[in-house]
Amino acid sequence: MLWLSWRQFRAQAALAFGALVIVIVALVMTRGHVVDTYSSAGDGDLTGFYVWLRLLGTALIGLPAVIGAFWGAPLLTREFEDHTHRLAWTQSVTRNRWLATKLALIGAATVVFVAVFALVFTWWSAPIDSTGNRIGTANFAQRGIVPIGYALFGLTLGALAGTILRRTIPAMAAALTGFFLVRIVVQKLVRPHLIGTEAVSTPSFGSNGLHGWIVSTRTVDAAGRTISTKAAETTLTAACDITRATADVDGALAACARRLGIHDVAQVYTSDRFWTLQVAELGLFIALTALTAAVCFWWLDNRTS
Amino acid sequence: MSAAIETSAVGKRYGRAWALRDCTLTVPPGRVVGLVGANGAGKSTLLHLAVGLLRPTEGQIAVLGRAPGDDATQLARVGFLAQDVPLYSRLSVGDHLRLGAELNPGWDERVARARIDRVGLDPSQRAGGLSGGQRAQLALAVAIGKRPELLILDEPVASLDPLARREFLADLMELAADGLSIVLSSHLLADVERVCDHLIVLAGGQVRLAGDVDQLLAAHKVLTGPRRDPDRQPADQTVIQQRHTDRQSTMLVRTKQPVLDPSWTVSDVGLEELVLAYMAAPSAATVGRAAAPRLRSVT
Amino acid sequence: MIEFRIEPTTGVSPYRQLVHQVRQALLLGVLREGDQLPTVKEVVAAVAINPNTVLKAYRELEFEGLVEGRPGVGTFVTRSLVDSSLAAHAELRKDLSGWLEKARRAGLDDDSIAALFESTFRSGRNEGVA
Repeated sequence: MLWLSWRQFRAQAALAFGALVIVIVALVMTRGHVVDTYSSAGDGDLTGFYVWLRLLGTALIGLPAVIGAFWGAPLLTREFEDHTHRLAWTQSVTRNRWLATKLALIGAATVVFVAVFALVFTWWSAPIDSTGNRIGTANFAQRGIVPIGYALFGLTLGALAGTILRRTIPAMAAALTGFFLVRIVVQKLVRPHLIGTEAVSTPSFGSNGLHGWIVSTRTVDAAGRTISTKAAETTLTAACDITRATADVDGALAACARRLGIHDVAQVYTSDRFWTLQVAELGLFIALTALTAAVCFWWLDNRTS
Repeated sequence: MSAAIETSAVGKRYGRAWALRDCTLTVPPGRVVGLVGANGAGKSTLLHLAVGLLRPTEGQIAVLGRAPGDDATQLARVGFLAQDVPLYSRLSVGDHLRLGAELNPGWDERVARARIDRVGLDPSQRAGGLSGGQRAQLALAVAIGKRPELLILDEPVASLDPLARREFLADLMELAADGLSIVLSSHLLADVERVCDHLIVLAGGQVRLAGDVDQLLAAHKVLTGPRRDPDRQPADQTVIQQRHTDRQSTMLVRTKQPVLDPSWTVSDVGLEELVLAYMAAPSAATVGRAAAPRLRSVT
Repeated sequence: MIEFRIEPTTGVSPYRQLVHQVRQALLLGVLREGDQLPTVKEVVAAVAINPNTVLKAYRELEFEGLVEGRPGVGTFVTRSLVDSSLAAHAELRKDLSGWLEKARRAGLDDDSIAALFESTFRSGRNEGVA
């Protein structure tokens, strides 16, 4: 079964890994220039060809969906459309073993492919990231190890779509849509609460000097009660006699707030927690992968041709 | 020795429509079984149930004594050739044999190779480039390479030219001579008549007739004679089909007793005539006076 | 070695055709005592009919004493028909000519004679079958 799975997959694998080799070579060869650009002597601005290379990050974000649509969905739909499942399922292997072997092979290829791509790209981007933050931006999804989780989930989601819908185009569409839906939901609603944020006290109306991702902030009074920003402003302008005529309104507000004990509390993921968050989100998506795969096997077994 | 296929009130429903309903059959081993019926009569459904591609909505089915498609051992005992002969078009002839070897522990490479060589197939040629007859032969090689006890074929020769069809059937008969049980569906009655010794007739998802061909032919007679009322027939004769002109009546009857009425001219029935009569007959219960509850195996 | 041909359109069942063709071959001397008949496998490979049909035909021939099956070896001709049948044929031919003359004198034309022969022949067979 492994031989057959490989035989059916090898053209796609050759294409993908061939392209990957080119990408890796390009990244390795250009990394020196990136380091120079972002060193103390450089101007911190990548131009020309390098803009394209940075776009590889965007490609990395779309990659899991593409894997789902082009590797996952056709895994089953090609067989259904050509009726070759009637040939494959009447040999001496059970349907479960057939699907498991295919998913295992392509899953392994996915892990290797995405891991190499993502980790080399993370290494290449490190000088750029050191000036900004990668935990709190969209860059989080194109660095480190989470792309591996995304890709595995995309793959099994594609396979599930193929098992249910049985036609290639609808399954690809469903895989793409479903994947991005899940990704957006996780990014917006789950990730802020995935690992515990730290509560950090920062001055109101001033710069907070925090490095990382500020998930949320709120203003509190001296007693620790939460107050709205509007209420804080009202209190401060009244207490410290600040008007539109005051010279530096923000500075005055900040000083007044310090005096009255009003400050902000920020829920933060500091930059040093980047890898912790990465592992957590990877774990989440591996769990989603397992769940999706389980549903896929169940559907294959119970909703037969 | 367990029956090749045994079903008990088996049925399969898709949504609201029943593709197969209330089918009870016992197919003895060592036969070449012809499964006939119009398109949509339920032939493919029954065969897919037998190889485990489908699960019954109701009833039971047992193949070689066990539930179909349950596990690797059972899958190894039954070979299948699906309708329109699906193959992997990008894989070569040799790749398909490799597929057989990889997916079947009981694979006999010599047998498969011998068949390929006999038909003159080039192992390096892609399956997508083969003719209809060559595809059928390749699929047959893959199906029998695992040395099954039962071979099931879904309209294997429907789209073959006459020469390829004859060669394919001849090859099947050789396998039958070696003891392989064979079930093949076909809507070409001439082929069925030549090669099958057991018959199942399906119409509208139900079994209309089933039994050994010799026994079925012996149990039916065509009666021709002056015009008369079919309800006057003796109780032991079941009228399957009847035609009347103003002077003459012709009836196909099923009976175990000899026909003694001298006004009838009695003749044997041919297989094609018999099958067509049962396919055309309305639901079993309304045929003739002696309403047989079901027309099944003729004992 | 005899080669079989099955004609599907004659209305004669395949097994009868096989039996008939063996008898013909024996009559014509194509098959002689000691000759081996083709194996079941060889016949079905050439003619694409059910192997049981061939077995049935060979069994019938064996029952008539014309051939003998030797397990593991094959089926062999045990008796030639060339001589004995000729004598019987001559006798039957004479009887038949006489009957035909009688029928014509009774006023029957060709078709009536053929119909009379067919129905008598069939009913004689059916009595044995039912």
